[in-house]
Amino acid sequence: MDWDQRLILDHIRYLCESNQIQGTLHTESASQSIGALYIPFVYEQNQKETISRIFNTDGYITFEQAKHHGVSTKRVKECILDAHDKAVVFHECIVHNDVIIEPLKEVVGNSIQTKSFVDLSVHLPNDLLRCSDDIRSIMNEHIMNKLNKAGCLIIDKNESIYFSQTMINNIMESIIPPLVERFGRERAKALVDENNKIIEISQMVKHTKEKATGRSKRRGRKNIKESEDDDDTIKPGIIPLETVVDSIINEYSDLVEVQDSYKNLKGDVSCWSSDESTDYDGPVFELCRIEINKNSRIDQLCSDAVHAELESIIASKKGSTLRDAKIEAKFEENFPLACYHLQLAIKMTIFDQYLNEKQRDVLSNVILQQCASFARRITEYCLFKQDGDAEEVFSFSNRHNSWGEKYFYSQIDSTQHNSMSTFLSCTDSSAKKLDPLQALRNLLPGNIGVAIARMWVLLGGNFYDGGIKINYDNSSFVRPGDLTAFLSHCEESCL
Amino acid sequence: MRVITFVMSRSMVSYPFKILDKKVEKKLMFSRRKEMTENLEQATEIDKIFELSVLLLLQQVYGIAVYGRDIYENHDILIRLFQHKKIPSYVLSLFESVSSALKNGDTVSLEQIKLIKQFGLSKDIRSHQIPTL
Repeated sequence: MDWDQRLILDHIRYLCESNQIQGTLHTESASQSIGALYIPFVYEQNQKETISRIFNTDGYITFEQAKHHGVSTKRVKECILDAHDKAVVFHECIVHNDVIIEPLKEVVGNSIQTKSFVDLSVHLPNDLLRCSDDIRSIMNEHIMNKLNKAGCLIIDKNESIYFSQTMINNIMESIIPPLVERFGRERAKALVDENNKIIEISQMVKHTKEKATGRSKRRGRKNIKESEDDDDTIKPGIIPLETVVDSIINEYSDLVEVQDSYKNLKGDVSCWSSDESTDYDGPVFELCRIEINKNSRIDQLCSDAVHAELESIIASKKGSTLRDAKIEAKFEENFPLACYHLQLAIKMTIFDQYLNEKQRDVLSNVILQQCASFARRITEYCLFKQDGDAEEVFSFSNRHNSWGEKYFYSQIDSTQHNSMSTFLSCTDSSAKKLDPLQALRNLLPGNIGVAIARMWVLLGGNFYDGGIKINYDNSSFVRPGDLTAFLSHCEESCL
Repeated sequence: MRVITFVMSRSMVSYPFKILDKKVEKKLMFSRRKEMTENLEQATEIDKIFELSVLLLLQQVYGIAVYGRDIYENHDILIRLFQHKKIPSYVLSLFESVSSALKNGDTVSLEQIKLIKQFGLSKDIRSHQIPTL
């Protein structure tokens, strides 16, 4: 039997309108067929109650959830908005202002006051967190705007973290500056070590700064080409992102757990640019890339720090070079006089013929003492010529003279030719006291150490630590000095 | 013929070890005497006057520079060195007594100090007249 569908639908519509059946009929006509849906009031009421119950219980409902219950987005909006005047509709959900937004606003306010962050996953349900665009809207339009505060919201499929602006400011003011300063120091030192010639470094710094400020480009087209072609500029580098992240995590220990969950997913953790990095390395990495790099131009900060440190090193090196040159000049001026007075002192041996054996020993010791002063002058000079702390390893008894200069470049006192006692030893800085002669051989390069040590040996055991040997029978043996050999060694052994 | 200038190892001090020749020695001795004489003229303390006078006299009679406190503060050595034919006996006895006084911490008279200074400043101790105090 062929039914006329229109006749049946008209009849059902009549029944619905005359309340003979409780429900509504929804129809839509296509080209050849007619679609129709009868929804009983009881079913509709049931859906409405379900949606309302969910919203009342959770304080929100997502359109995805409603769909599972067979309710359209339009219907959900109608249902909720009719019943709740504090419901706020978003793109993917509807939330209750008092249940979701206000408590979140309070937590965010607290985080601003305490210069910290909010892990939204603790305060928001997972269904809602999946609506990332809506979370942004909630945070931006309903919380941050109303609090009149900025911040940084990092949303990932697993995490949603809000970093308060006060926390970001704290990082910028307390964490970044010392890190950048340390980076600048270390990087500048490495650059100086790589390019040992300080003048070249100085020129490179100048060149790099000119390039940075564009001065060289203003000089003309030719220079532009030159500056593009050559690679003679210092590359200051940038502080490793991981270092900054570690420091932030150290300061905010609550972030450890959050960031640790990304430990095995790390992409290019050294990459500061959020554009280049395709991998998500966790909220703290993203915070650094998005907020810290954007606000402070971390590369510029690092570059400035390295340049400042390089200029400081160059200035101090120039200063010390000048000082060293002055000391060298003083030594050069006094060295011939020291040679002459050494030879004059050795001439005192002619007194031997007037003296008895005991007195000769005294005389010999006096002359050797003059020789020891000469040996000290040369030894101190050789140690001075060495880089590092070689000078600090040794003690010469009266290491500094009364006016605070080292002995090796002090003026010769021709009347007295100093009567201070000289005794070479190693300072007690090391637990095990070193043999000074061996230390000289080790510290001074090539034959210098050997020649200097030999000079002290020829002075005799009274003038250096370890020169007096104690025998098994507790008797002591002092290596005797040899004036002739000493003078001869000074004159010729070094050549 | 002896090479008068030896060059020390470039790796050591990079400056030549200067050998003392007669000319330089004479110049040095002269300037040393001059400096010590000036110091002696200005000196007022007995220790300093005695020290400089001894050094000047020893340089004068032996023609060499004497260094080291142990020489002029050692009484026995001092007496042995002052027993030189160029040093008159009254000079020797004066220096001997003042040396003993200084060694024992005894007082030295102003006259003795004045004489010591005079002998120290003397250009030729042999021709120095016996002072009348």
